Amino acid sequence: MTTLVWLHDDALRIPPDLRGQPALYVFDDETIRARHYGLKRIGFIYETLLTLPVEIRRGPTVETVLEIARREGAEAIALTGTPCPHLTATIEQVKARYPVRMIEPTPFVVPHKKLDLKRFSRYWHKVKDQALEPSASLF
Amino acid sequence: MAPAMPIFEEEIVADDPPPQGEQASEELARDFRDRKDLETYLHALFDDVVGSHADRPHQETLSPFPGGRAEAIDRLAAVKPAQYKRTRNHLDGAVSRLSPYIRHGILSLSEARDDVLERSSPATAEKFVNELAWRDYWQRVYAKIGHGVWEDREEYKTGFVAADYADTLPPALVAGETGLACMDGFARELEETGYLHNHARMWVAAYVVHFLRVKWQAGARWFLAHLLDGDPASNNLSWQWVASTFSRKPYIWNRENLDRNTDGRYCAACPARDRCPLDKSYEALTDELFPNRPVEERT
Ligand SMILES: Cc1cc2nc3c(=O)[nH]c(=O)nc-3n(C[C@H](O)[C@H](O)[C@H](O)COP(=O)(O)OP(=O)(O)OC[C@H]3O[C@@H](n4cnc5c(N)ncnc54)[C@H](O)[C@@H]3O)c2cc1C
Repeated sequence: MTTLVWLHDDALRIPPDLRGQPALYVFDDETIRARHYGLKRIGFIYETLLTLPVEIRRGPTVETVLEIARREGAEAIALTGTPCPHLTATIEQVKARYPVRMIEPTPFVVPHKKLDLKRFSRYWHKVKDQALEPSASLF
Repeated sequence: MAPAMPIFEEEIVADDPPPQGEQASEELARDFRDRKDLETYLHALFDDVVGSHADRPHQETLSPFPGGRAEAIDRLAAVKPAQYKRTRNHLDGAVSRLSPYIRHGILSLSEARDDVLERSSPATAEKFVNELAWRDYWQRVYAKIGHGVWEDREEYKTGFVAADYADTLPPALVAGETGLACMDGFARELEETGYLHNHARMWVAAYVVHFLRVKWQAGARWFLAHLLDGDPASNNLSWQWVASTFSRKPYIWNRENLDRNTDGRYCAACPARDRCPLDKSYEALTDELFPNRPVEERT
C-alpha cells in the first residue's frame, strides 16, 4: 500500500513508520507571501528538505498534493497535525477530495485533567511532574 | 528597509481559503554543489521576497543555521542542562539555539526532553524542560484560539488602552538607526541571522511597546518576517506577555540589566551612553512609563 507523506512547515520530517514511502513538500508562492517568509527561512526549509528523500515542488498546495498523490497511486495522504488555522483549512480542502491520515508526534505531556491555559504557571503546575518523566518518544 | 508591514495570513479570518490558480506545479532541483550553489538557485527562484538580491543586494542569503536533523541532533547533544540553568539569561549563555528545528518539526519537544533527562537529574534538567514547556503551552493556546493570537488576549495593564499605542514601528528602529547601540545591534542581528537570544527579544519587545508605545502587533510582524523560528504562537503570545495583554503586568528592563547580561558590549560603545533613556531604577522607569497606573500597582 502506498501512502504519500506530505511534509509541511510544522513537520519537516518523515514519521518512522512511513519511511520508504513517497514524500512531498510544496513551496506555494501564496503561502510564502502571506507568511512573509524571507530567503533565509526558505533556505533553511530547503536545506532541511535536501537531507530527506522528498520531492520538492512549487505550485498551489492543494492541487499539487492531489496531483502527486494520484500520480503515485497513493491510497492515502499522511501528514502531521498542526494548530495553524490556515494550514488546517488547507488540509480540510485536501480531506474533502482524498483520504487523509493524520499522524501525531509523541506529545510533550498528556494531561490527565483539563488544563487551565490562562497563565503558564497554572499549566506548568499541572504538567510539571509528567514533563520531567521521559516519554520514550518515537518522534 | 521594508516600509509598513502588510498583514499576515493568520490575521485574516477567511471563511474561504484563497483561490488556488490553475497553474501546474513544477519540480524543484535537489542537486547542488554547495551552499553557495543553493543560494544562487534560490535567488533566481524567489526573487521578490525579503532578503532576495533585489531587496538586500549585499547580504548573505542563507542563515548561520544549517537545515536538517543531523544539525539538530548535534545541538541537542551539546545542551548542558546545569550550565543552561545558570547562564541562559546572558547573551553568551549556554542556550541551545534549537528553536528553528523545533519550530519546523525537525525535532520534537519530547525528544529534546527525553534526551536531557537521560543525561541529568530531573532537578538539573528542570529549567531546560520548563522552557520547552513554554512552547508546548503556546501551541496549546494557539490550537484553542487560532487567529485570536493576533488580538489582545486581555486589556493592557499599563494604564493605557490599545488606542493609545501607535500602529507602526518607527522606520529608524527597523533600519537599526535609533542611536541606541543595543537596539540597533539587535535589529541588524535579527535581519542578518534570523535569530535573537530570548533576552534580546524581550528587551526589543519591551522597548517597542513600553518605550515607543507602539502596538505589540507591529513588532510581532517585524519579528515574524525575519526569525527562522518565527511562529505565530510563540512569537505573538510572547509579545503579548511583554505587553501585558497576556500577563499580569508589563515587562520592562533597565540599562543595568542589559549591561550585566551583555558584559557591557553595547553600552560601552553606545553613542547615547551619557544620555541613555534606560539608565534609571525600575521605580523611576515605572513612574515614567506608566503614569496612569494606580500607584499601588506600580512597583
Ligand atoms: C518577543 C518574543 C518573541 C519570540 N518569538 C518566538 C518565535 O517566533 N518562535 C520561537 O520558537 N520562540 C520565540 N520566542 C521564545 C524564545 O525567545 C525562543 O524560543 C528562544 O530564544 C530560542 O532560542 P533557543 O533555541 O536557544 O532557546 P533555549 O533557551 O535553548 O530553549 C530550548 C527550546 O525551548 C523553546 N523555548 C524556550 N523559551 C521559549 C519561550 N519563551 N517561548 C516558547 N518557546 C520557548 C524553544 O523551542 C527553544 O528552542 C520569543 C520570545 C520573545 C520574548
